[in-house]
Amino acid sequence: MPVGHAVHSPSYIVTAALLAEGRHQYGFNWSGGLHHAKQSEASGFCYVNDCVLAILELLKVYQRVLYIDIDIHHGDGVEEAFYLTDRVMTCSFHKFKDYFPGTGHIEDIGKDAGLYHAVNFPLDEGLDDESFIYIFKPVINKIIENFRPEAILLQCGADSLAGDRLGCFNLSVKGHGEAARYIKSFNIPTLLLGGGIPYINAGGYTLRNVPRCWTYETSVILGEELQNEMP
Amino acid sequence: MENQNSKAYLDKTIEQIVDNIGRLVNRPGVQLRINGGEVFTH
Repeated sequence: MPVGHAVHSPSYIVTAALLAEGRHQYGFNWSGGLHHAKQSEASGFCYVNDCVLAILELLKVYQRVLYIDIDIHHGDGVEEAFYLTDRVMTCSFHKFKDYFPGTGHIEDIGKDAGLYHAVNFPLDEGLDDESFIYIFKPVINKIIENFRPEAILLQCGADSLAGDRLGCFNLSVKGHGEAARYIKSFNIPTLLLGGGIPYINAGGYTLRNVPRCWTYETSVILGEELQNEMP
Repeated sequence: MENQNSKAYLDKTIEQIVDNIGRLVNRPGVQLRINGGEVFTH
């Protein structure tokens, strides 16, 4: 459904295609973000990697696509899919030690043509807004400056919020949304993905967190101020 | 084991990652043919 210069669709293919056609600057698919699925196996509640499929759709039009992952878990399926190419850069901020899926070491930086095109920022539990924003901005700024992506895919896993049943970071909705706000400032076509159905989709396992988070981030992208009272 | 949320760790990691990303500037050009037609270069 078109929303001004943005579009929301439950289909990653439709959303990515509309973005690729240049008809919309921003796309949302809150029911996506299944970043653990591999080419031949399901993993971590993810049965199909819509992030990878959406990026493949964007690559039909755009030369370089940047994938950013702020889910508390490492975006292993997406990193693996594009580990050898220089057309996709992946950047994941995640809890690392003794935590699923166990990948995402800082020394994993891509290989062959994809060397230096994988970025991993391993973190401990308890990461707060201040620290998250402190690391997110310089890393993303440097990537955009050097990689010059033509499109961005932002996986907004809400399990990095404080109080999540599976996660152990300490981000507020506003801190989490600051990532979307910063990405928007670059004015690059962006597709936002993330868990929209708690307990089923990737990223966001506490019922009250997920709708609050995605509603706020939708408002950030659309430039709309939200009222506290429900309409 | 080092606290991966300490400012020292965050600063060190930012520096390492930014240094790696800086190496992209000198990446070799590539040519890719999509659907047998368009050629992308950079």
